Amino acid sequence: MLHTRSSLLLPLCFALGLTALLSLVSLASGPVTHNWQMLWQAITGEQAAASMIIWQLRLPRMLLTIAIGALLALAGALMQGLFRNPLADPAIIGISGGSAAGAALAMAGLSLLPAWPWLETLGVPLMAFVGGISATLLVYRLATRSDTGTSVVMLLLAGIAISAISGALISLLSYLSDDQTLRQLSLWQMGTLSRHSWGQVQLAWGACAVIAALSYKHRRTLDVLLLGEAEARYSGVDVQALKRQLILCCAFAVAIAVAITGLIGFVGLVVPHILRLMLGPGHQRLLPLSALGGACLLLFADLIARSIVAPAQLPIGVVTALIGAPFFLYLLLRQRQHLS
Amino acid sequence: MQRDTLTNAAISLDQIELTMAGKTIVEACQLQFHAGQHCALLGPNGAGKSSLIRLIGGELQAKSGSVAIHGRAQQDWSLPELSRHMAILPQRSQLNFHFSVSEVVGLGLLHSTLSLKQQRQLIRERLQVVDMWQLRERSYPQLSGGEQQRVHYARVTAQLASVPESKRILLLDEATSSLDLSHRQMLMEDANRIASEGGCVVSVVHDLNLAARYCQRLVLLAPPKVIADGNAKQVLSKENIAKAFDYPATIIEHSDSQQPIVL
Repeated sequence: MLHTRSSLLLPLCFALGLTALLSLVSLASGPVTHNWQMLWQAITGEQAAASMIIWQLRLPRMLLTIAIGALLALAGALMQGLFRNPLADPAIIGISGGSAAGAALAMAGLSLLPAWPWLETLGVPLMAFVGGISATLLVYRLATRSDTGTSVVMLLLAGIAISAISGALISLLSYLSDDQTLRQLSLWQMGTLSRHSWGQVQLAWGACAVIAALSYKHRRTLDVLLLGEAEARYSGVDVQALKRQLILCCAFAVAIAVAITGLIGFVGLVVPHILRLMLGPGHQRLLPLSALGGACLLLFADLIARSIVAPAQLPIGVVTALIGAPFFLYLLLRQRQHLS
Repeated sequence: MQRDTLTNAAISLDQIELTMAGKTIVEACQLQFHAGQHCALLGPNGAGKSSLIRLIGGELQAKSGSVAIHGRAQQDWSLPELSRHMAILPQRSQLNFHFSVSEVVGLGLLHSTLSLKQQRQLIRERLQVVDMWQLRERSYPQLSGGEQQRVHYARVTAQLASVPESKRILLLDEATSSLDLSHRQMLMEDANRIASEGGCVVSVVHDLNLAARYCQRLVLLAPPKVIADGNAKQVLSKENIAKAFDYPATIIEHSDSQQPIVL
């Protein structure tokens, strides 16, 4: 049996422990030194430099990594439930594409304006958010009709189309922009955890709390939705309202994540998928553990990104793609064997 | 008088006109389904039987006319309340996630008012009835089509357990299509038990003889109208079958039950 009848408590404790461990390792590692003594000195305040590095650089980065990982994995778990397909990823309905296009527009636009630092820090994330939400609403409007409801196939196809348009827009902007903007655009597209402020950390954690609470509230209806929309309705689920909420939830989660860190792919695909294999598809366990699993995966990926070419850093999106894309291929192969 | 029958019926369809893709499939349909009866809905492919089930379930909207459940307009029911009174088993299920068999039955208890202990007992009892209790830990997608159908039957009947027997409405859309002979009898007998306890059961059936054997009332649709409504002897006549199915049937009588058999 792939999924056992175990309760939520044991896997939850394990995941919490793993998250805590990875967090500590993350705090202790960096380009300056890799040791626990420094961490201790920073906490006790013995050494001012260590204190500065830990509190101003590594702690916010660690907290941001946890929140973004959790957001992405939760969004993935919700999308897979909504589409009743374990291969679904927030990127497929065009949210990531829309967000990236919004960000690219802001970067290109800002390079033409005189440099105002506040515009730079606020404008790009805000436009990513606007782009993500509008892409989602557009996809949703395209795919939804008042009499028959949302067609999942149409939603997917519309998502592909929107992603293609976003991709073309980004390419065009890259082609037109100067060297500096081009570099900024490519960095953004690779995903980065190194631009972090306490404000962004708070924003990510706030969004994470909202999404986690909303999705956990729907844990049983999400299970019933897996039966199909008609049967969910016969079982007493207001399917249209649920779908609307889920789509907005995911749009919000992914837009916040992309706005702060750029494109970090595959976390939302890999984490819920592995957990489903281990614990079964029930959302009561899947949702909280996905959040923690996403945090763990991103903490781990960030450790690799920071240590493998130290003292330089790899973009985090490259690391998650290198871990995630082969996994995605493996899933596709498995599904193909299932089908044939 | 008319008012009275309207409120007494478990399901009441009043002057229903149903169109799909611009084509009228049901016209001026006036039907009542009563408690304590197992009624079969018969007719050729595309006669609108499944559409009627989906209409009663609120998934489709009629072009005109109204649907009432226990005397209250369909749209006035809250979805959780309606789900406790009426359960629908569609022809096919899209479920392809690795829930265990007992978890699938548990999905029918989303709005159940029973205690957790009662729910566990209910799941056990329903799975024993459909002969799936020994496979309760099995992963659902690994089951055969007939086994999956039995699990879903257990799920939808469990859904009704929160309300008194006389308030239960069960709609089965070709629930027996992939079942073997003995499980087919088992399912129809369990559906008859629900009806005899005071529930209202409506089955879409393609096997006319199965309907004649188990259902107290048969409703024959020939698009876009109901052409016969009554017991097996009244409905399963040579003329009716020729009209509905365009098929020259021979009707003989079963030696024990005196029920008609369609050949």
